Amino acid sequence: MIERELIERIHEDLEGKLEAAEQQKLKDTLAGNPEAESYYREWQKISSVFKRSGELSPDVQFTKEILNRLPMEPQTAKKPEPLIRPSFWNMPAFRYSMIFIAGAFLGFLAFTFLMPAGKISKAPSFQLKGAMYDSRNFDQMTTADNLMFENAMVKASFDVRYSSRIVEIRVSVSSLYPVQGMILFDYNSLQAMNVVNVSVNDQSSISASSNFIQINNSGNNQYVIQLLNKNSLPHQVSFKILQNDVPVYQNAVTVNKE
Amino acid sequence: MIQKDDNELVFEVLQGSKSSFEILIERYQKKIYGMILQMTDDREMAKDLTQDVFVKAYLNLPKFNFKYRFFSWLYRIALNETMNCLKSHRRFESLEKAGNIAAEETVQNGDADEIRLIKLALRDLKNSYRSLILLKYYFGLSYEEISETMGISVNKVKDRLFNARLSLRNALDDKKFFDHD
Repeated sequence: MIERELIERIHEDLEGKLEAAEQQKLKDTLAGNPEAESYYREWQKISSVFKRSGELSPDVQFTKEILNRLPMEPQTAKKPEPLIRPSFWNMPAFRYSMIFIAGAFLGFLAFTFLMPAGKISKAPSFQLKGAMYDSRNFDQMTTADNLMFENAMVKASFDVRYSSRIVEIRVSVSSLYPVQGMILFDYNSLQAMNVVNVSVNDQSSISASSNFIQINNSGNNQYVIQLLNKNSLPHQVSFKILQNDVPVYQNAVTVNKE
Repeated sequence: MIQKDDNELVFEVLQGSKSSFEILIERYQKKIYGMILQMTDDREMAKDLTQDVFVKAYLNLPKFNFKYRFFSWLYRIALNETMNCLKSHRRFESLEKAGNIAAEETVQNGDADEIRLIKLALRDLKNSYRSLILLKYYFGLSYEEISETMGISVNKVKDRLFNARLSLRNALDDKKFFDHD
C-alpha cells in the first residue's frame, strides 16, 4: 500500500511541479519502492494518453448555429437588487407627501418667526443600483489623483483611477449634517455605469443623470462609482461638495492622461 | 494584435457586443465539445449540448460574477448540462458503437487502442469522478481552477481526485491497459 503523501508527490512530479532537488529525492524513494515505481510508470502512461487524446479532439465550427440561436436584443448587465433594502422613506409617494406636509408646516412656522427649511431636493433623474465589476480583472488601472477635503462639518476623499475601459471613483464621505457631493463629467466622454454602496446608511443616497452623479450624504458612507470610458482622450472629472447648497469645495481630475 | 482577455470580452458583450461573444465561442467551442464528447461518447449529443451550453452562457451572462474566471464558469455550465442530459438518456453506448468510434481514430493515430481503453475505463467511473479526471487530465486545469469550476473547496478537489484516480487506475487495470507496454 503506497502512502498517500507519496502518491501526491508522484502526481506533483508528473505535473512538473517539483524542484530539481525534490525530483531527485522522489527518484531515490521510488528506486527503493517497486510498488510506487510501478504506480509512477502507470500514471506517466495515463497522462500521456490523455494528452494525445486531447490533441485528437475534432475541429468543430458551431459559431454560426450558436449565434443564430441567440436572442435578437443584446445582453446588458442586469441591475441586481440594491445592497441596502430601500427604506419606507425611499418610496416616492410617501416621501413627497411627507415633504409637502413638512413644507406646509414649516411655511406656517415661518410666518410665526422661524426660518424656512432648506429647499426640497430635486428628484434625481434615476437611481443607479448596479453591480460593481471587479477592476482587478481589467487592464491595468492608473491612478489619476486622490482628492481630499476636510472642514468642521465634512470630511471627504475621492480616489480616482482609470483604465482603457473604465474610470473608477472610490468615494468616502463623513458629515455631521446633510451635504451634497457632485461628480460632473462630459457625457460624450464618460457614461455613468455602476454604483455600489459599500457602506451607506439609510439617510444617504446616490443617483445619476447623463452627465453627473449626485450624492446626498449624512453620516459616514463609502461608495464606488464606475464610469464607462468612451474614448482614450484626456478629459476632466469635476468634484464639488455643497453645504446648504453653497459650494465649499471644488476640484477636478484629468483621466486618460497618456 | 493583443488578444483581449475573457473578462474584457464578457464586459463588451454586456455592453451589447455580439461580436465579442463570437470570439468567446471561437475560443472555447472545441474544448467544450471535446469535454462533452468524452463524457457522452455521442457526437450528435455533444454537438447539441455544446450549442446549448453557449446559448445558456449568453442568456446568463448578466449574472456572471467577474470575481471568477469565465472559462471556469463556462465549464461548469457544460458539466451541469452534460450531467443532466446523461441522467435522462441511456448512459452508455454499445461496445460496437465504441468500436466504430475507435475505428475512425485508428485511421488517424496508431495509439487508438490505448485511447479507446481510457474511454471505456472512464465509463466505469461515476459521473463526478469522470468529470474530475477530464478536468484534470484532459483540460489540464489546476486544483484551484477545478475548485472554481465545480464550486467545491480545493481540499475537496484533492480528496475526490485521489479517489477518482484510484477508481480509474483499477478500471484500466481490469482492461489490461498496463499490459500494452
